[in-house]
Amino acid sequence: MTQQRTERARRAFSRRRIGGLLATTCLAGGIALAAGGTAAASNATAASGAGSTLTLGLQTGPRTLFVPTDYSTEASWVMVLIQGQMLTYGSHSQLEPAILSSWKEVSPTKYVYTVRPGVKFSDGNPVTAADIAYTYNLQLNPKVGAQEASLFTSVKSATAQGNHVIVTLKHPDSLVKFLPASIAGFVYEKASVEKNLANYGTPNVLPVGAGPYMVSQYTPAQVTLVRNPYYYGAKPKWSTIVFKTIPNPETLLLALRSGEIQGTFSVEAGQAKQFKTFSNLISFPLDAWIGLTMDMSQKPFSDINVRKALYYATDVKGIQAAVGGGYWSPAASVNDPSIYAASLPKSTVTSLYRKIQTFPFSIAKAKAAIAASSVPHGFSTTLNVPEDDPADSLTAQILKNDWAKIGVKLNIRLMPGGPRFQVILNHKPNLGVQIIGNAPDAPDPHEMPWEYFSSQQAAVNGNNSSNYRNPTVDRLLNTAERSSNAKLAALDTIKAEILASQSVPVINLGFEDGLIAVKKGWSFTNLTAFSPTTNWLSDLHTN
Amino acid sequence: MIAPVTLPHRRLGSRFARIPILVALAWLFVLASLVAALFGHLITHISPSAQDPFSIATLPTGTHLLGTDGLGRDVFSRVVAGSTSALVGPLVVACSGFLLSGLVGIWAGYSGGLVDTITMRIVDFMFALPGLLITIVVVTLVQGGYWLAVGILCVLNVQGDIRLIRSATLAQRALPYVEAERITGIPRWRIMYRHIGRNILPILLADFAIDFAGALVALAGLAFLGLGAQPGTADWGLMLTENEQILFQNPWAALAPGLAIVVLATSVNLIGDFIYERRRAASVER
Amino acid sequence: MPDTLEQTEGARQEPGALTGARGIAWRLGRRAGSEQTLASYALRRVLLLIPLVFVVTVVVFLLSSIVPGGPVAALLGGHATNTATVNAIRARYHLNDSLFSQYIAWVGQVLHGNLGTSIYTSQPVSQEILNRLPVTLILNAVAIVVSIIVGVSLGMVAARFRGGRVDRIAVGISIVTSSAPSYVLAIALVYLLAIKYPILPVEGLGTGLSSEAEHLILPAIVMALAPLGFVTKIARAAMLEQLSTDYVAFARARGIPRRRIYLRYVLRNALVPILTASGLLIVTALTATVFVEDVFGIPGLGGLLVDAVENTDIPVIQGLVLVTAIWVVIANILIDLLYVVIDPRVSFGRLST
Repeated sequence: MTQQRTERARRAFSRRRIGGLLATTCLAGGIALAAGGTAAASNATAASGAGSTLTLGLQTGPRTLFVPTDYSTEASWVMVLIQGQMLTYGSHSQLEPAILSSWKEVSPTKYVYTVRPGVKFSDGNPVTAADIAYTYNLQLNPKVGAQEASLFTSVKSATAQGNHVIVTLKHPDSLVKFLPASIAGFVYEKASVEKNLANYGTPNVLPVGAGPYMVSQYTPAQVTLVRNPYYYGAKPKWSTIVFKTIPNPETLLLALRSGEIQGTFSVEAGQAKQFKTFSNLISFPLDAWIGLTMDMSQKPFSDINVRKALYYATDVKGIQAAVGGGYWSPAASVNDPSIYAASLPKSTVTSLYRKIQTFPFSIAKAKAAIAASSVPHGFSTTLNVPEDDPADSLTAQILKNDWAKIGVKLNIRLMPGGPRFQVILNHKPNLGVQIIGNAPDAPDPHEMPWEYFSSQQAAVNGNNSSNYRNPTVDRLLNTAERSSNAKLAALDTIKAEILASQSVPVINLGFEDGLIAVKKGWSFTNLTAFSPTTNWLSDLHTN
Repeated sequence: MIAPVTLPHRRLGSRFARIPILVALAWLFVLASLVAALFGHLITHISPSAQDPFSIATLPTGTHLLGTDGLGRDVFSRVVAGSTSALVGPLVVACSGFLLSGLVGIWAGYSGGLVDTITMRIVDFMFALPGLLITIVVVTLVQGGYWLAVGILCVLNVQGDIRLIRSATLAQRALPYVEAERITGIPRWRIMYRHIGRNILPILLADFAIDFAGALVALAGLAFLGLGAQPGTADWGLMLTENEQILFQNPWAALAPGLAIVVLATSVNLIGDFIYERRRAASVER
Repeated sequence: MPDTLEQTEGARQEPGALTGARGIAWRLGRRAGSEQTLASYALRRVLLLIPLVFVVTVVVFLLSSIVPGGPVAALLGGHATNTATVNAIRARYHLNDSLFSQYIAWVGQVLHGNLGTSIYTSQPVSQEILNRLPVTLILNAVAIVVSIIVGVSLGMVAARFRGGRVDRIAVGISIVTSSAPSYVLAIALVYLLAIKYPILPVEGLGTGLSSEAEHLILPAIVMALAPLGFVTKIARAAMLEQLSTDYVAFARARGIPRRRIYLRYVLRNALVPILTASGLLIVTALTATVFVEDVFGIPGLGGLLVDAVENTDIPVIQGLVLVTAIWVVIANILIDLLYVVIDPRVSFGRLST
């Protein structure tokens, strides 16, 4: 039920995603008509002093400025400034009011939200409960084809009543209360979206939002934002924010060095060293799990000794060093322990996490395990790698090298990102081994284990590409999802993780940190895994 | 006008001494690539696929003559090993061009009539195809690797060869010796493939060289776009694109394979030019 | 006057028949068909577009049908989903219809002048293409013009001092640049001029005239270098060919100044094969664009193609197929017209095979 956040964020690393589109106006103004203009570099330098224009680089420009059709971290950094959120996160990932001034959990299946009075969209129209309900319904309507639709599976309806929005669930779901603060919680204006649903958020139909900024120009090469005069909060620092799409990572680095951009959210771990030389590089925990799933319903992965052998044969530390550049932390399971911080004391989490089975790199143990398996002399298998993700490609090459040592021949097959993921969604036989990058959408510990260990997700369009099925784990996760007691839910979830680890459905490669580079002297504070959906501008300091 | 009944091999010996130094160097480099492709593993002391995740993107040292790449692999051994894919694919493309254009081009040129018309219609059609676009679309959508790319190049490349050989054959057909042979009753195939074929052999060979260099650049280009060669392969185009990411840390990792492509392509083109020029000089002299 | 150019070239064994000016033009097949007027010739070329576009677009449709899930997974952005959403998306883009009816629907649209809407970005395909066309056109035009000016000058100088040091340098430049692929040149120049000695910007396009021009310097240099060798080679061969003719010898003997001979007669006559062969650059430069746009992050047609294929964005791929096919065919017509316009001895009536 989660977005493949990391996948998307990392896809951005592609050198070949030339998402940019040069507006005719830009060209005409620049080249054909010989309209004057100062060099961007000097422009930027002047602006940073005056604090009026902020220019940032993105490797992948937003596909659209409409979250239902572009639910990605990179787009989120932009969209949060435009749309405004229903709710937001505080510094400890606790929910805080935003456009919704208050909320109440009337029953485990019913939430009532109150719309803050006086909030207006950038076109001057007030934000009403009908707009909030409509935003929910955008996700619920399959015709919209919303990317995050599956997050709303348990939502029955969202209706407006006066200045209240009533959200009714089919069954209790621990995730739903966080959705108003997630990417799916960006507020859309019913009237303007309804008119142009098919091409909303394209250069032809710019989105209307209630965030601190509004779009003044959108080409896939650049998104230009100016202050929203009707914004309900404090007046933001910069009068203009420009997001430039710079697909080539080397070029992005050069742009940062030359001052053409003042920062970027698209730093890949492998490039961290180079970025450090020219900028202030800030890392923050993204809780993005990187791992391998092995299809347990299929030979030879159905043999636990094979799975153990592969785990032992994987030089996780080597991968973390070479691919993660020091910005991957070790992972024992799909959840980073920090996600339990709100519900359990740290010591409890630490001691429980020790019970999770891991298989540290040891070729000797790997050889022993494969010798005890049904394929003692090894076998050959194929790993699909999204071709726009150099990090996955590097990981695959290390795996190929490592696994060869125990007689396992790994063929690497490059595929375009979409069709690659489609193989997982199809869930047909021969899932084999798959490489996964995924981050939780909300500080809900139940989400990731449910995605990778529940039998519900071991089906078409689901995430569980290990096809791991265990009734006990299902029961624990179900209880956790429906529990109103966060502590009990957390304990059940960790139990499920421990239980699953005994069957070795996945190989944990690490948790990837988020990396942001800003010009030297600037800094970012308080960054968390959920910063992309909060008003991050206030955390950017220019001195 | 005197009929240039050229039999170039007769003159080889006397001309050998006159090979310019550049052409000699070009031959040397082609031979070196060949040796690298066949015996590369004997030359380098480090395996091209040996990884060291803890010393990545280092600058050249005594052990790593060209430094290491993003996975700590030795760039020098990878450049040496890369000569295999740089030679094999282009060789296949050039050979298929040589054979097909030799067979079809001479046949169409000599026979004329319907055979010629059909051949030229097909060739015209293929000339108008947007080649690179088709290659990118097919290789991406079919998710084929290196050999699919080689196959497509073979198909798309052949039209130019056929056109060239057909034209050369037309020119030969008009010469008196062909007419004389025809009257004497020498079999068609013999005139076509023995005599005309031999006379246009330098053109075929020069064309072979041009095809080879073209295919080298095209295959490396596809690998550069992430198409064709699979990750992990020591392929010059792939190395170029992978190591562009570490241009700041170890520029040699990207520049060395790039240079290898340029030097090999230049060498082959030089040799092709030389073969043709020598033949031309021979016929002018007479 | 022989009745076919092919025979002329073959029989006379012109200098550089294979690698020289006419040789290259000839190798690449610049020949019109038999007995036709200019108009009917152009018409025939345009009509060739129909089977061409038909075959290519049908192939694209067939190929895209074997991609797992088609564009759906790209649209879902790598998220797990539910069946209702997948079905809704498939219905919206008619992916459940037969390939045949999808194709017919596409052709119907195109005949009404509508290239459809990009599946991936929800923007009209024509708009996507038109937005990116200018920068690609500018790069191509700059490359062709610069390479012709520099290449012809270089070729002239080389021919004038044939066999000398200048000649050898020019020939060297010509051989290396015509063999060096644009992606290698691009990376080498980025390293030299942006990393090692940061002189020029390389990132995207910049804003404002001076900045945009500055940003296009490096890409334009790379684009121009690729065909430079080709032009130099042809220019040199054509000049040498002219210099060896009788009229030059007579002119010299009559004491006409060398400079006058070069500029008035030799260059003018040599321009025929130079310009003709240079027409071919229109096609070859298009290939270089894909790589140059990739390295420098320029949002042009090359990037659009790579993205569209990546996302199985069928309407955009098909639109690009149409545009490039038209581009190539028009380029061919222009080249052939140039041939006739420049060299009055060649007429369509006389060109028979």
